[in-house]
Amino acid sequence: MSPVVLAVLAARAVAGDPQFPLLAASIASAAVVGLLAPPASARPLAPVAALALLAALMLVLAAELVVMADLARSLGLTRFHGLVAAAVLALGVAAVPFGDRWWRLAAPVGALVVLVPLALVIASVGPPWIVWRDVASRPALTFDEHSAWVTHGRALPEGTRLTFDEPHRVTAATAATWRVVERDPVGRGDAQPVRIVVREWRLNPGDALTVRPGDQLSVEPEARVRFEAGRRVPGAPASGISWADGGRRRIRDILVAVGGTAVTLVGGGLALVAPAPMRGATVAIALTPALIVAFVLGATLWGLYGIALAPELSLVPRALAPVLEVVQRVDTPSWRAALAGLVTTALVVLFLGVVFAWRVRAGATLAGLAVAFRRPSMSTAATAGGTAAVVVLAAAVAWMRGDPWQLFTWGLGLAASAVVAPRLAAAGPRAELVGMAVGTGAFAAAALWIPHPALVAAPLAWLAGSCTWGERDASPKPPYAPGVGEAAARHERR
Amino acid sequence: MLAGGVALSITPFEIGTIRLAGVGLLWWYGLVAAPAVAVAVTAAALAWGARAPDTPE
Repeated sequence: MSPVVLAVLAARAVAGDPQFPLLAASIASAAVVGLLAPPASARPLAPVAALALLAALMLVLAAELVVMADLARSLGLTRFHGLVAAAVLALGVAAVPFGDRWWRLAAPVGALVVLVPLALVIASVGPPWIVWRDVASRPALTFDEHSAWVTHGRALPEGTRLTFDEPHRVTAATAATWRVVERDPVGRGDAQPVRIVVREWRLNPGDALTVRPGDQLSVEPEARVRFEAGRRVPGAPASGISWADGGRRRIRDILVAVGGTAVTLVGGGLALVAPAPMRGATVAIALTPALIVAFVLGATLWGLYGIALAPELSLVPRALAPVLEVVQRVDTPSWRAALAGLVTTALVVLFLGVVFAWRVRAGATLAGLAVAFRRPSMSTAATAGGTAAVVVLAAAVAWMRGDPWQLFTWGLGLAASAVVAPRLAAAGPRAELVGMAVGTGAFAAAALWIPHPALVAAPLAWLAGSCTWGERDASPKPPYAPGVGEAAARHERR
Repeated sequence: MLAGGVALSITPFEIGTIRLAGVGLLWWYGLVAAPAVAVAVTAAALAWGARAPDTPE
């Protein structure tokens, strides 16, 4: 449960990703598999493996910071301010190594509270299955006449290029320079050549421009534009049926996408998610998996109600935009600000909970690293300093505008390839080191070429570990646990 | 669980797009049926682990 998961599920639901239900199922199953992981193995990770785990943790935190920065932009702040605020909050959690009992509640509380406004939206708009059926039966996803994009105009994000499927009269709400790329076919036949013409206009407020199918429009950053009511939203699925069913994909693509996502999420979850307490926590045992699945379902519903109430969301590809757009469309205007405030607060609490869990795992990894360098008693200040350094590095990565889902899956995939897969081989320290080196190298190389590098790197790491000669693990305990040794376990207990 | 979803995606005649109560079958499977089974199995496994006696290391 994290802001990244919420953001990606809502965004994919809005976009009508044909594999979306399988992605949601993968996320839910990976999280619950993480709960079932056995206790940490007593053998510490090799120093290089601990460094790889720290790099994975850094990427995961960077993804969360990108989402929080996008949230700030949706609230009218700058990306820089959002990123700095989120990084300061993360540093605060990293530097305050007490109150763990209360910090532990932050993620579940945030996940629950973010569902409360959704319940109000459901009560106001209708049950999800009715809304789904309504969206899926629309002949086209069009601008509503009451939309702010039609009435007052809104600013497109920087770098947006809109490609139109039908003639559309677009009006300038503020003075700006507009650029239209026209593609005119010359000749006949399927492979007809295209003549590309680029035109620029300086438009004043109220001036309009009619674009044709295939034209591509871009405007200055922060310039507001108004669209025509009843026309298709550029970039949105062509129709409700197209949104609901998606396009046909090749079997190989489906297998690679689902397999890659499952290996990445389950493997990374085993490395990064703390196992559930097995004794004396009956309520937690019953509620934790249910809360995870409710969160995944809730994130999906935010996207569903987003496409139902605001099809023009494809114009604002910011993380968490569906959540904030939906609460702005509730029937009672006086509730909108309160709901937006509630959602924002819940997201911040959820972020703090994620950072707390991250801090525990990063602290355990640092403690294991200290043991590997024969310094078993790592001070609290040193642990806080180490985690703070990783937070700063994550903020620097987040500043480079990466895709949060890619950063998130890279982090999980690296942990799966460099840490979990070599341990699965159960072939001893030497083999684990070889597997880690192969897994990390293969992951770095594959990340340049394919969208799911862990699908290649994790099996290679396991194979390298299994085939390496050396002293094998004698323990019958499953050795793929994420722990970094007794020092790490002591750190987590503390 | 995921294999069931993949099977629904690749079976002929686009079975995953069949509507049940207005909603696509693949959506029902991926967002309701599969997670419900996951929760049940996980809660049962955790409860079983909580009841099991301590075993020596």
